Amino acid sequence: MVWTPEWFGVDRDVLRRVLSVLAERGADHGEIFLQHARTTRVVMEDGILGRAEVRVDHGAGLRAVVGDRVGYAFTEDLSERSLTDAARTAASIAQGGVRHGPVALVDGRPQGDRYRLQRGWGEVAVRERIDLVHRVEALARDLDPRVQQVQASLIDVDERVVIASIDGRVTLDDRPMARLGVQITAVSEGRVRTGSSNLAGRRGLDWFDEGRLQQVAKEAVERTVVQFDAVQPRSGEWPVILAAGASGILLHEAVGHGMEADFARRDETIYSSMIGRRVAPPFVTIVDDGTQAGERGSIEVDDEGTEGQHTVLVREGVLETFLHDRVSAAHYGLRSTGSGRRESYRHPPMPRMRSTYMASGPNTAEEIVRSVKYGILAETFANGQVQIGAGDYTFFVRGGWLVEDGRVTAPIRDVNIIGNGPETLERVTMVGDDLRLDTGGWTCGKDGQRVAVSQGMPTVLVSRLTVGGA
Amino acid sequence: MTEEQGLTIALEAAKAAGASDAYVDVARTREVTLRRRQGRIETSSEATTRSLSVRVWVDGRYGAAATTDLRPEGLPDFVRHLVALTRELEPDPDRRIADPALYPAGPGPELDAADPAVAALDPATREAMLADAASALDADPEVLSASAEIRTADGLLLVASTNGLATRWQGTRVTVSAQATVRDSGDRRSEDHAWATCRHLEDLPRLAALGEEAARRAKERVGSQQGRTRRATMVVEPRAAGTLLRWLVAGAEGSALHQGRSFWLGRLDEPVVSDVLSLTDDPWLPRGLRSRVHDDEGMASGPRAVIEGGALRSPWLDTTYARKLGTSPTNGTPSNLVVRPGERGLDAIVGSVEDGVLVTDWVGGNVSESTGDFSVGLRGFALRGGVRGGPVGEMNASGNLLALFRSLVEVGDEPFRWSPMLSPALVFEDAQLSGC
Repeated sequence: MVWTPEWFGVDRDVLRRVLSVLAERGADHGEIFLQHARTTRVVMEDGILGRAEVRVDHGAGLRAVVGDRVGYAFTEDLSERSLTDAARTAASIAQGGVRHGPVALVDGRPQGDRYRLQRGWGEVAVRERIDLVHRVEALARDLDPRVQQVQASLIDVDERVVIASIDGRVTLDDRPMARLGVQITAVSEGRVRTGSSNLAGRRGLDWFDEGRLQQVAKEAVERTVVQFDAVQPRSGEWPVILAAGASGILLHEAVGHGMEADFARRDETIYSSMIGRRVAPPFVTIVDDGTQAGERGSIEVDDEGTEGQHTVLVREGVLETFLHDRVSAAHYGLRSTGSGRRESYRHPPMPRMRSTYMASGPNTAEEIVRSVKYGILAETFANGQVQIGAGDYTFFVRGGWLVEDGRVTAPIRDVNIIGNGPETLERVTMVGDDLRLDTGGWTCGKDGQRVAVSQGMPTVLVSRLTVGGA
Repeated sequence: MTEEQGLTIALEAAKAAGASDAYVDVARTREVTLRRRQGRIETSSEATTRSLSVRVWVDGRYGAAATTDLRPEGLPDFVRHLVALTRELEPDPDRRIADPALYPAGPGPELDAADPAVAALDPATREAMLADAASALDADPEVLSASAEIRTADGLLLVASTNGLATRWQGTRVTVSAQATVRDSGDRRSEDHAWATCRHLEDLPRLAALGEEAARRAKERVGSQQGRTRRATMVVEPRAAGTLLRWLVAGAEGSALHQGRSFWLGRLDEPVVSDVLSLTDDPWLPRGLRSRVHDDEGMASGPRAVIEGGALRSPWLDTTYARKLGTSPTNGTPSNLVVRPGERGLDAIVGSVEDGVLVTDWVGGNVSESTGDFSVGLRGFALRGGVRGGPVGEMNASGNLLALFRSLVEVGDEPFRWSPMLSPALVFEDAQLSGC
């Protein structure tokens, strides 16, 4: 459905007048970010689809930027009076300058195909959501007699944004998101184990076909029942093989956050003065990408109205660029990489990752496993964290395998792995030819703001990392 | 539209649409944030946010919705849509509105949650407070990057239900923090921060001390080394203790117990942790960060011993999961968690450790909800022969959470004040550490 800014009940003259107030004290740039997001969640538990929750986030965030300084205000009341008050509050960061607002507004609507859906979530009936959750629940329940409880849920977001900049550009975007999750409790000989899987993307109902439902149900059950036999590996420093897919969490923590230009601009990251330097072997290329169709981290435009881009962070081992929003780009005299993202209208944008992955390399997964005498193969992950300045990062392995004498042997579970970003990059000794993007629903937290991201990886060997095992 | 009007419109719309019961709350919060970096204000943000949430029970079915779009003309439709959506779900006999007999009988104890002085802070005072907090940092040539932030919230929450609940809560909160980054070897930087958060302005510490602490901590971390893999004593600073307690109690609530996602399953009232640990849920702490008269179902709150004598005595149970578990509800979620303090201060404790680490922060990490097996990154200081040694990092601690808390031998004398997890230092013997 084609819609215009007036859909928010804010007409163009109001936008223009409010932008003028935002600019009047001399802001370099700034914008009004109008957002309406309807999130629907249906949950099935105990065999009953007995819970549904709807949330509407409706509001406007107004920002005025002067150099590195940001004035911000938001309001949920989109009347001209309230928007003007917010504009005045945000504009007060600027002092003394004069700038005129836009004379005319020019609408733009990205024409890409990064959000893949035949029907928007606003057109999907509750009954269709319920049928989908029922189906995946039944599939999971029947897969293994040890399955005792299944919780299945579907969350979808139907979101519209308008980004109206002081320079007169108005960008409209429809942003769908969906996540189907399955949580399993299994019991065997009195022992209880839990596990989960989920499928997420900027996708519609149609994407969740029978094959994908079977896949997510199977993954959830397998990840749970394998734990009956899983052990924690030994504590210490070991070679770590990162399985293709969700292992991209290593890049997210070890490299991605440290490459966000707000940290670099403030001289807070270990990568602050490493642009142009060799940081990894030549077979390592790391990308942060907003352009892939259907991925959770993909964006047609970022939350400042800049086009989502394919940004090479490390090209053949050499650090190439930070991730920029407009504030950091202006600081460095560069163009934004389309990385200015925000959780909602309640927050100003800042440089964030989109979909972070390593390009495929020269080795096969089999070669990589064969090369390890004793180590672990990390496959599924829960979370991670990084200390920007020291570069020390962690990621938590939910499941994986022990590798002994070049062969995958026993299942492992629940270990934290810790390393240092630049050191880890140097220790990447083999990269597989099997890049895979993970379809799990990753969410990244920074400075109190959560945004949807994706990650991916080919099979990779890191020669040494600290494993917090038994 | 006032908040009261929103409440009334939503309740009436729910009833008119056929809901047998409804629970509505309306929140309004004014939030102001000011951040100073390198001697000047870098970010200023200010807003008043409002939201309304509705839960409905319709023919034995349950649905919930929340919105920030409070235009009165749209609200009745919003609620009608919720009721219609709820009719399409399946009935769950255990999902019910809370028993009104469990609602607070009167206004409850005086929680002293609101300080008019917080709401009244003017921009000049905020800037002056930040200058104080940053004073030690701005003057320090070793500091590469320094920032200080003040964040205030002034909130109102109104609650009403079709079965007789009607409450009004007001609270304020002020948080001041300072962060420092200093140069370490090579490209490494050492960073740390300090913060205070409380409900009343007068409870804030001397603000300059926050900047001093951030700078001191960042500098003390320079030259951090990886410690050895071994079993040793682990002393956890008060500010880091909350993470372990949060993991310990995460499974001590109704839905986790019912879904089998809890290592407490089958262990209620059994002595499985050290009796040194005494943990109380105390919603009546004056000025407490999570103090409250009722929980978010309306059930009256009161102090409860959660872990006592080494056993979990009283899990958190809301109406739905108490019914599913065949027992009585308590409160659905934790309030302030208070660990009973011990006798000795951190210095005295450190003085008696032969070989160990002092943990100042956790890095990442997680716990298995069904087994309690955990593994977590840490940074802190080496402890040797009763003396605090150099900084350590890139290390993990791991094991089983219940086993770890069985090895709790001592609790410090002073809790961390700026958190709803009021824990002093925790001392664990024979913890598994991994490094080089």
